[in-house]
Amino acid sequence: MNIFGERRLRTSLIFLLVSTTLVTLTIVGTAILAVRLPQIVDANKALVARAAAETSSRIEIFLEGLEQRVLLVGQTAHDLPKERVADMLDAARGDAFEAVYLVDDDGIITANSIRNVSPERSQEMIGVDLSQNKLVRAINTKGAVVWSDKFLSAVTGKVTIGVGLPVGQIGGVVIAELPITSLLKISQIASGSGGEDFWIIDGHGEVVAETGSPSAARLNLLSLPIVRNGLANHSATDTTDFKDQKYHTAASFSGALGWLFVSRIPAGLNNPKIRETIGLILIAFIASPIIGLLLAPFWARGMNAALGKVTRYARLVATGVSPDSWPRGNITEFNALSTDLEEMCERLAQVAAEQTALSKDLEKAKNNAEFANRAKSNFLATMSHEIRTPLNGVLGLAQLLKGTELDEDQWQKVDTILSSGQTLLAILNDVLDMSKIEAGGLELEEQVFSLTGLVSTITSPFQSLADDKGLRLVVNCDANHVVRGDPVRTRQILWNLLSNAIKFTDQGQINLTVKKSEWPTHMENLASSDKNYLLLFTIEDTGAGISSDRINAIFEAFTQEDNSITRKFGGTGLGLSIVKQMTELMGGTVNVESTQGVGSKFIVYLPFHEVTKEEALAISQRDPKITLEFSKPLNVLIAEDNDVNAIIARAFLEKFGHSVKHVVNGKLAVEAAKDGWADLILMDIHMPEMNGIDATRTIRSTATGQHLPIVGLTAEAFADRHTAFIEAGMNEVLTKPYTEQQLARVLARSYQIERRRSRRGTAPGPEIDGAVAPAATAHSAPDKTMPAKSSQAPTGDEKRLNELRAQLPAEAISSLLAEAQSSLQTNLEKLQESVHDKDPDAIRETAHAIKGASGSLFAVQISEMAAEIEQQSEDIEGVRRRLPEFELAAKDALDWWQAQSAK
Amino acid sequence: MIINLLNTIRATALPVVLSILLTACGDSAPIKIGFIGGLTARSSDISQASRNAVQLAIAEVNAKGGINGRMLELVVRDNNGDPATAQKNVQELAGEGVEAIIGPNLSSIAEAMLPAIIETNVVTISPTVSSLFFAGKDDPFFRMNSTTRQNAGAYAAYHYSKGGRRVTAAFDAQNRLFSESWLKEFQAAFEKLGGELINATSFDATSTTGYSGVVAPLLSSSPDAMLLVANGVDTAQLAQQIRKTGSKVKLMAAEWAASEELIQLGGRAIEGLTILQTYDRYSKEAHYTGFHDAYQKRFKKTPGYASLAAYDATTMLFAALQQRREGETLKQALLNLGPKKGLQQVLEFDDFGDSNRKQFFVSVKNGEFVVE
Repeated sequence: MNIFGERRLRTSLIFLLVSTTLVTLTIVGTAILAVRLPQIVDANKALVARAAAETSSRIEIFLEGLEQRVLLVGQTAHDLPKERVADMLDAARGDAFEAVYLVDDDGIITANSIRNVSPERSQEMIGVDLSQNKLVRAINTKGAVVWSDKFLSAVTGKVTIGVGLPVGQIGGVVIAELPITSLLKISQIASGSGGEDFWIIDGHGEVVAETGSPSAARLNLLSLPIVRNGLANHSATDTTDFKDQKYHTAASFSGALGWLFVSRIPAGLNNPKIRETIGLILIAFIASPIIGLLLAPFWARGMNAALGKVTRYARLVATGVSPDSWPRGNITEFNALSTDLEEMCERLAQVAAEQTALSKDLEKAKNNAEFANRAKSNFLATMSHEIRTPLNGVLGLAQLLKGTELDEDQWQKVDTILSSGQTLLAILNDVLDMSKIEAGGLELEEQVFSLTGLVSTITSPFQSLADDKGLRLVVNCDANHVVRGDPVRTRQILWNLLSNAIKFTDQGQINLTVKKSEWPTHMENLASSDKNYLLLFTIEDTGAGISSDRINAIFEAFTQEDNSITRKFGGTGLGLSIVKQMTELMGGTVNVESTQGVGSKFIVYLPFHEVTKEEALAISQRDPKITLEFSKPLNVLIAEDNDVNAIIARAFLEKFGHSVKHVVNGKLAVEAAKDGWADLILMDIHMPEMNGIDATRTIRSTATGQHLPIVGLTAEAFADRHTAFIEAGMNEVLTKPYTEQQLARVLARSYQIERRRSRRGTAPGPEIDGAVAPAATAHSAPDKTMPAKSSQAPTGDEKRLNELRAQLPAEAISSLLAEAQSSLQTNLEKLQESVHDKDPDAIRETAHAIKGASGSLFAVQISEMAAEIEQQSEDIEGVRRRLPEFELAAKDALDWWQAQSAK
Repeated sequence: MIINLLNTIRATALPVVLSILLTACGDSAPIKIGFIGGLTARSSDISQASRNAVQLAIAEVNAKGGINGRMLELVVRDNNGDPATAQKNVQELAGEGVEAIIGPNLSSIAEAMLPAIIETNVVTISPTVSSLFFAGKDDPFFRMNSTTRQNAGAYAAYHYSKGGRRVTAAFDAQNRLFSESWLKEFQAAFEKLGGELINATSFDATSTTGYSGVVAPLLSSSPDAMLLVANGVDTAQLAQQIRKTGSKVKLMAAEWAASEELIQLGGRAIEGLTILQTYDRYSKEAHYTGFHDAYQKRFKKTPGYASLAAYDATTMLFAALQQRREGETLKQALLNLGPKKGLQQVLEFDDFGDSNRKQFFVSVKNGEFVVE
């Protein structure tokens, strides 16, 4: 129910305080208004009623005093002699009355008190006829005291109030006139303390006196209901509208005076008490939210301080510090929180300790497992090495033996040894591959290669196998595919599938189809933008087929279709599993369709990176035309501690026609390399005294060894190790056991590459081996420098030759060029002999001759090289090493001349 | 309790809301009508009579929903017979935004007020002022009464027709503008007829010299009638002093004196006194009796001539307020008003805002005015 979302404590408190106060005030305020306002109204009504009555009687009492004085005048007047009456009236007038006068029964004024004001007027007033005067008439009618309404005094000519009463025995009346101002004074005295005001109103509704405002003195109020009712009923209460205001009014009629006393107090908001009450509530309404707003931050600060301590401690715990004691404050909930957190921290610490102990155990177990895994790897590596080395001996010797003269029986047995050994080697490779895959140690390479070329190199060995079994192997490749990817794994996949197909097919044919494909729907999820060159490989056989209940299991490791197959065909049963895993590693898929007795069809999709035109062109250009033939026999140094291996290698090499020297460790190899005899070294890795890697490094650091081709020999099948060998300076690595062809190819490649390189003066660089069998993987150093056109001088200076041609007849030029060719050939042979004879003088002379003759006919390159050899004639070994390069340059020169002479 | 509360809130809130509404909406604000009179002075009798009539008229109009939806509010000023106060009152009332003023009753007061009336341009209608001084003037001062010339001329003609030839007169120095003008008009008319104003004396009622000194020389000329040009109180006093000498001379009083107080204070001294009335107090016409009864009921008094004139003044004023057209001044509206039915006569202003009253000669018989 969090309708307002997350908010600050302060905001919450403000909301809480403001809403609470507002709600409280609304309730309390309404209650107060509901209770208090009627109370005030009632109190006001009571107040005006009481005030009217009180004022009425108070003024009555006051005026009764005056009345008594007038009565006294009346009573004494007839006892006094006439001349004294006026004095008495003067005395009676005093300060209270304006005028006092006696009127006889006829209504004639007989005496008055205005003598002191105006003797003439006083005299004039005597005898004035007031018989029509209302007051006089009223007194006579009533026979008692009468207080007049407001009237215009005959005596003073002023508006006044009079009191009159009968004199008694002598007849007539005595009248005393009060100035109206005296009544105002009286009413002001009567003005109440409750905020009420008064009107004193005569019987005609004329306002005799009043207090407060607005003034009604100039109006006749008889039309007001309170006045009318008051005069009629002698007492009334009402709410009166007067000059746009409402008043609570009460009227009290004085019978003695004939006047109405009306007290009034403003009603509604004009009433000070109501205004005050409502005002106070309004102020509270406005003030309390403000107070809430002001107080909330303080309270929030207080609560935050308490909460802040707890959260600070919690943060401390989060940073790993355990406080000794948790804070306690005045707020129970926060204390409870603090206690809970404390307990939680203790529990956490406990759990952490348990976890630490557990993770220590786990670490130990992990270390043990890793150690065991390493041990396994080492074991595999060792086993690989230890098995391969003797296997190399077996296979090598068997091959050699097979080449000797054998009778039919012997040949059969040797052949069986050879095939059994090869099977064993295949099994070994499979096991190694599988273990690598399972260890996750298989990493894909990425290089540009010709897939079509790869296919053709794979199929050729199978072609003969198929022929042997009387099968037809049909390879169908739709185009020349050049792609970027892992050629080694691709080859391995195809190899295994083809191998299986031939293995399980007794008659009929095997089709290998390669074509570019769109992503099939079942592989769409595998489609990736970076691998956008999808190839479909189909390997179809007419073999036994796979039963439907087993077809799903054939890609699982260590399952063969049935045990009998293993027995019948041999193998580890890992081949298809390796295919599947490698395919998937490359982002592809492999599926099989099979009908028992009809055949099987393996469908492999493999994605590759598309290559640029430049890359494709480069591949075709740099594809080295490696020839297995050598222009001359090589001097090959074998560094190998294992005698069997050495014998095999020597046997192969000598079979090729090379000279062989054998040393048993790296140290001796380094020594042997110094004399410049060796054209190439076959370097075993594991040797006593100095291993192959160190030996290679040492040789590379010498002048003679800088461009010496070195081929590593190892039984280690793991590619990562091979990389280390290449980095040490080896040109290639050949995995034992190797075949005759493999050795021949590696030798040729290494020698030729290195020879070209030395001619260019570049560091050893990589070459691509497009034809190394998976059984004997060869690794090349990465190609860091691409073969650019020689930085050295061009073969010949055609421009200058043409200049000469312009000066001489064509026959002469032809003759000269023929002569130069003949001379160079002769001198080249002479130079080779001189080097062989180690005759520096002869070398110098020959080189000099070549320099001159070549330079004369503008064969610039050979001329310059000859000049260099002339200079270094003392360094026979150096010259000897440069000789191959020189020979090539010489050939170039001869070709150039030949071309020029044809023009 | 809840009902009480509601009542209280209604009592409290309604005036507030109303006052806000009234303030916000100018057209609903009350029309203020001023009244200026000497309510506490010697001539307060006629001023009170006029005020009562105006108060009654306003109450009647308000009871019928006001004029064009606007209530009327009476603002009363008492000048206590003092001209300077009256002049100040005009300024005050103009400041309070009155639409018009009813009053005063005395010419001398009106004379003092006139510059202020012209200056503030507040339409002022006097019920009773009759001095020729104000007649034929184009100003915002309107009069209901006939001029002194008309009234005094009527007196002259009346007395002459009764055989009177020698007349003496006492006139009020305090309201000289009226009384002197009145007397002059009388003299002119009377002498034209062949009569004679033998003697005329002014008196000042506010002085302490009394009335007897005034009366004696006038009586000594043996007039066939004595003419008293004064208010009711002073006329009564003068009559009392005349009768005290035992003189039975015929008394005539200018119409000014024709108030209830004259009877009250005159006693037997004014028996037989002849006076011009501007209305028929015994008329049985419904329009008049309705007014008479309402007045009687309201003020417990009988209306006087000043009441009728004031009531007629409000009739003209309210009609003008009601019929005033857009952009028309109140003065123009009054002048364009045309004839209206008054309590006892047709009311109409001439181009100078002057009008006239009916004339009835009455005499006092047993304390009552009786038509002769």
